[in-house]
Amino acid sequence: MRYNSEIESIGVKLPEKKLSSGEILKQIKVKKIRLELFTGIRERSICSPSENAITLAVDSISDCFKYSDLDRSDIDMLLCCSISRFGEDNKFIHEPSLSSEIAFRTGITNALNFDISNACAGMMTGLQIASEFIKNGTVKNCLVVSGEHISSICYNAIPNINSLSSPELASLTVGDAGAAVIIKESSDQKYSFESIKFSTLSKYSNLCNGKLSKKSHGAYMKTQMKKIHDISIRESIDILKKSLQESKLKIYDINYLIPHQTSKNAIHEGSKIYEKIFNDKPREVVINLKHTGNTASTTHFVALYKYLKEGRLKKEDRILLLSFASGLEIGIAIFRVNSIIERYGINN
Amino acid sequence: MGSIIKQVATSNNAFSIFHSGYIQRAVVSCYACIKKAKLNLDSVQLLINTGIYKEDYICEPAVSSLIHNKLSSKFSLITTKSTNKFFSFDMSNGGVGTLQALQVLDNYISNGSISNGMVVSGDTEPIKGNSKNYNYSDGAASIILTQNSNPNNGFRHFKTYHHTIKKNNYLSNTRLTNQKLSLSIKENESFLNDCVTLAKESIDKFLLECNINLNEIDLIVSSQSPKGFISQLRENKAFENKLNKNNKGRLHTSGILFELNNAIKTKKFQTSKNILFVSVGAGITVSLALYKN
Repeated sequence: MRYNSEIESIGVKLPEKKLSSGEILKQIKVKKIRLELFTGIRERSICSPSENAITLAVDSISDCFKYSDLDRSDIDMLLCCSISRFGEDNKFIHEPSLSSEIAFRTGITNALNFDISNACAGMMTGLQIASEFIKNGTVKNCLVVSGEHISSICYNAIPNINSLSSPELASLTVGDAGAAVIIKESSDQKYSFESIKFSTLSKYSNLCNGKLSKKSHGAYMKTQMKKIHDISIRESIDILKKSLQESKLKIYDINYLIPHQTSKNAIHEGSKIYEKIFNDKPREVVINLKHTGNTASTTHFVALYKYLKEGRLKKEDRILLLSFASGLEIGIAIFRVNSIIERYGINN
Repeated sequence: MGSIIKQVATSNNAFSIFHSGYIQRAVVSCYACIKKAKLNLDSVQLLINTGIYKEDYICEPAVSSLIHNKLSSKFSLITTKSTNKFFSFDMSNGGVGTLQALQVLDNYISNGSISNGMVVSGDTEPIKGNSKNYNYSDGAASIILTQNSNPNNGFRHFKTYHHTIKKNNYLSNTRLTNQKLSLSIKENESFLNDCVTLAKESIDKFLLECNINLNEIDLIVSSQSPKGFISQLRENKAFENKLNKNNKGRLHTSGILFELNNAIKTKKFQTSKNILFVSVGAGITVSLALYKN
């Protein structure tokens, strides 16, 4: 289904403090883990003591408005899509909603706001909700934001990793980040979302789970890495085919496919399978892990932002965002690059 | 605009130790809701969970997918194909999350993106005995909304009012202290009064926007939290006869659905033309909806 909404601007906040894969491996008993080689992650951003999920979200919103033609008072709806709900002093916040705190701190006080939680598919879920509200005429401009302060998953995994089959191995890939995207009512149908589809395969909801840790601050996450990867790729083929068919597209029409950023090897493997199935491939499959790691619900927009800032995209390039998340959530969004490109890029 | 309520179901029985926790209660209420609606599980295309307090402090996956997985077993439905049209996620916004989730469903249904959607809500103390000031009852409730062929009835208008100046009146968070996860809820003495005052102000504004007078409202379905909210609202003569007289509930996110279920059981819902939904929560946030029968 085609929507009448498009991306107006994107903002990102990456903490300045870095943690390298080398530093992580020095602390692990198992010596055979080729973390950077397999994942492509050299380093990831880590929150300083004064940063948390809320500050990441707030800072990414400030960054977003630097590129936006809109004012804070133009925002009708604000959705916070973070998995992590850590505020000051490592408190896990239940109420009030993170969205209301973020709205208060950013002066977006006229907007309908609430929190969404859908694991790493959070921001893309927010994208669909925003687009449904815009399509229904309920709102005109929606801000979708996420602040992921998830590095505790990595720190909490380190003492528990005793073998290459440890269920906490995937936790070593995560990094902190905030991302914000403004979705507006389209003025030109050419640039509106051609498709935003989601499917929840709840039978596989046990393959990755995360809870608050009772031993140390933050959370822990356990993942059946190989299984969730194989099932995600396998099950995404039908939804990909359907989305492309409905949008009257072939895979080759996609200039940039941005999958959920987990590991370089996993993305390469998935790409090869798609190439076999579709007998063709997108122009480029984006891998943006080297300096950020897996930033959970923000990965697609952190990657998109980087490509915009580096001037790698052209107007009318077609982008496909592919989401995989515990649940098991599979999501796709397809759109063309609009005039947003004029506000980013190396020369701006 | 204009989705209609197809069915509501609740679950608050104190089960055996094998059936405690929010997820199990949620599954029971969803199952009952779908069965009473004479639907199949695969007729429900979107499930939104709005419960805040759940067992074991689960962060991911979304609890809605865990609920759907257990529901699938009850319906003997194994859904493994991604071309299935089911999608789920969690939403939260304190005491108003459930009513806001109905607005989300209403948007999806009004656009024709789905035919039937379900909201499930409820709470349970995450770790029994490890909380300060957690006074909510365990319970879960579900509601199914469906497409509406009559443009003059169903949900007509939704609105949420955010009063962030009162944001510190109710704070709820969990901390790790001495290797124990402890939930702490801090509610100012003025929280209840502020909720009632702001709810009344918001109702006035909302009815003006909807171009309807309070005396045209036949029934008010309200959230149960904070404790004493419905009783205090009822002290206002204008609301007295429109609210549940026998409310003793202490439910949080599911309270409004329990109130709705009660109104349906006593036939008050069916015999009311104009129904006002009111919920309040931390923020302080007031969420309202107008429904026409």
